[in-house]
Amino acid sequence: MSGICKNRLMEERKQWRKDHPFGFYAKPSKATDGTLNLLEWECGIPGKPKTPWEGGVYKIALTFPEEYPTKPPKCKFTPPLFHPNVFPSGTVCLSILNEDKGWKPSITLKQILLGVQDLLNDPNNSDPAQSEAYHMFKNNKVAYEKKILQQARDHTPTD
Amino acid sequence: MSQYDYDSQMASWSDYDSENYSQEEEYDYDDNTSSQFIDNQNTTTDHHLKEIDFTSLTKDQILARMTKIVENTNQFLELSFDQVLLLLLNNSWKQESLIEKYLEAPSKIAAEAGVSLKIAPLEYKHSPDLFCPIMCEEGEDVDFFALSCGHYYCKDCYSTYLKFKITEKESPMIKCPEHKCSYNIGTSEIKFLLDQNLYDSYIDLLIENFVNSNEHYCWCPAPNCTNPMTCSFSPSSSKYIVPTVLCKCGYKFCFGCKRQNHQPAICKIAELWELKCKDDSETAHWIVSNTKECPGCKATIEKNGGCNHMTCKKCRHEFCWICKGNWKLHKDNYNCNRYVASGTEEDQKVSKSRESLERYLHYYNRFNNHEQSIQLTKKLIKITEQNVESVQLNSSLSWIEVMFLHDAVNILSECRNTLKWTYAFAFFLKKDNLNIMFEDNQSDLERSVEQLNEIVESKISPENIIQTKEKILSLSSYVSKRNEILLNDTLKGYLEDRWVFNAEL
Repeated sequence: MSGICKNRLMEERKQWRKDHPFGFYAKPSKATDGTLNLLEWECGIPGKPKTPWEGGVYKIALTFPEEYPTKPPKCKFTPPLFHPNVFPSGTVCLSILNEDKGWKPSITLKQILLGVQDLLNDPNNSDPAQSEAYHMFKNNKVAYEKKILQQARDHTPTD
Repeated sequence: MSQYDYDSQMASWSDYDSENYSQEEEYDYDDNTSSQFIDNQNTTTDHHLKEIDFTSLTKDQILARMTKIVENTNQFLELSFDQVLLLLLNNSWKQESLIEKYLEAPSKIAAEAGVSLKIAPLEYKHSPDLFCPIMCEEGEDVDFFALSCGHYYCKDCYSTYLKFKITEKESPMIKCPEHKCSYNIGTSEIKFLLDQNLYDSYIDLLIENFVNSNEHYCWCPAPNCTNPMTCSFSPSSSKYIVPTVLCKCGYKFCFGCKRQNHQPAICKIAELWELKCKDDSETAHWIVSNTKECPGCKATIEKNGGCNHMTCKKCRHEFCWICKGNWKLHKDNYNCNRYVASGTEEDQKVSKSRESLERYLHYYNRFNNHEQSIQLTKKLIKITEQNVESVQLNSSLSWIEVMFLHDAVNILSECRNTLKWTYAFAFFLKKDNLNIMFEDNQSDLERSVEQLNEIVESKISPENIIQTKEKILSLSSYVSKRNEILLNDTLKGYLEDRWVFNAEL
């Protein structure tokens, strides 16, 4: 791992531990031998209150490339989420996560996770990533909301 | 070493008070004989032929033109060179509409282009309070830089960021690294932050942006050629003019569609012809014309010899090739020698498609034949060179005197290219009496081209060189003349709406 990438991720981790938004979590993954892998993070994003997403905490994996922070991390919901801007593989389609569009090296982990949280209840119709959620959102808002509510219940933390 | 000589030029990319390139040195091919097929001889009455005005440029000349536009625009806007450049970039280099829009709502237009109306000093700041959020550097010994938005980043992060943006060749409009900040980084800031090599790549991006956003500019499509081209051609005249231009590198191409020269066929015909050749509908035609379906299992069968008693390899069904009747019933009651009026619809369809296939193949073969001859001409050039050399050794003729062979070969390729495209043109032409003249011109040119080709290829010896040279010279000039006549006539035909096509153009 390059020095720049490593230093920045250590700093991100330090900052996150110092302060992070309520309901979120983010931690580097652990290999079987207990060593930390700074390039793979496991995070959780809570649904915003007063939206159908409320109550759920959605698990998302962040994979940082060696070129980080020049290039953005890849964000993937595990399991894949029912949402117009989430690919069937779970990868999130969001302008700030696209190196050709809105990505800037100064964007922090906190800003990424908050950005994805905003996207949950505010899908971008011009950039569909899966057909099922996109068509339901466009054509049948009632069924869509029902589906989101069910998804939130499925994602409610048990403990 | 720097790719361009910016020492004089680039002063203006930060100071913008240069006068050294108000005058451009341009290679104008218009005065040259090389554009003879476009800019015909002065005796031609057709002024339409002169509409195409083109100049093959270099990147440095483009840069000079860009500078001029920025300076001209700035006479109205009164901003810095950087600011005007960014405004122009954001408005696709549309100078007039930019000036109009800007004078109406300066702050709105500036904001849209990410232009700051304040200018921050070009210097690094050192302070213990500054912290770089990208690499997390801090301290007084770190060089910090910010645009007028005040978002400070350390010098290394700034240059890594710029390097990435420039090598990815996205756009010359690079925003401040701060999330959600829309200020664009100006040319002088980029020059300040980067080394000469990367700065050159950035200038390349600017030049590319300029050429790509202006419909009167394009890049020479020849492989390995990076010269820009400018042409006054407007797409509305593509219905009757083939805007053929000649790059410094020697490549002749159509400014309208960027294909290799396709006179006398206009762009639309060239496009339809290529589509036709690519389309496998002709394969289908061939299958219809040359094969039949087995009446038993519907397998496609081609008869490659033998008698009319067919046995399908697939289903072992036996039938008669002529009437497709069952062979068992057929052999006792042989009625295939009796003509039955081919009234069935299917028969008519087959003969029609056979006819259309033959028509297409007629034109395609001739088109292809000339294409192949052009390829062979390239070999011919080598043979000619050897010829020229041996002639020089064995005679008192100088190098200049034997150059006529080279010229003849060039004329040959040029005219074969015309002939090639006349077949694409003729394929789409509806048969009518007005076409006779075209076909006459075509066959005249074709005949003389073949004659010239033969003589050029013939063995040249010191004994016959004087005669051969005379023959080649007179035939070459005749061939060029025929070529010119044909191109003029087709062009006139377009202008007079004389051609009737059997396809939607």
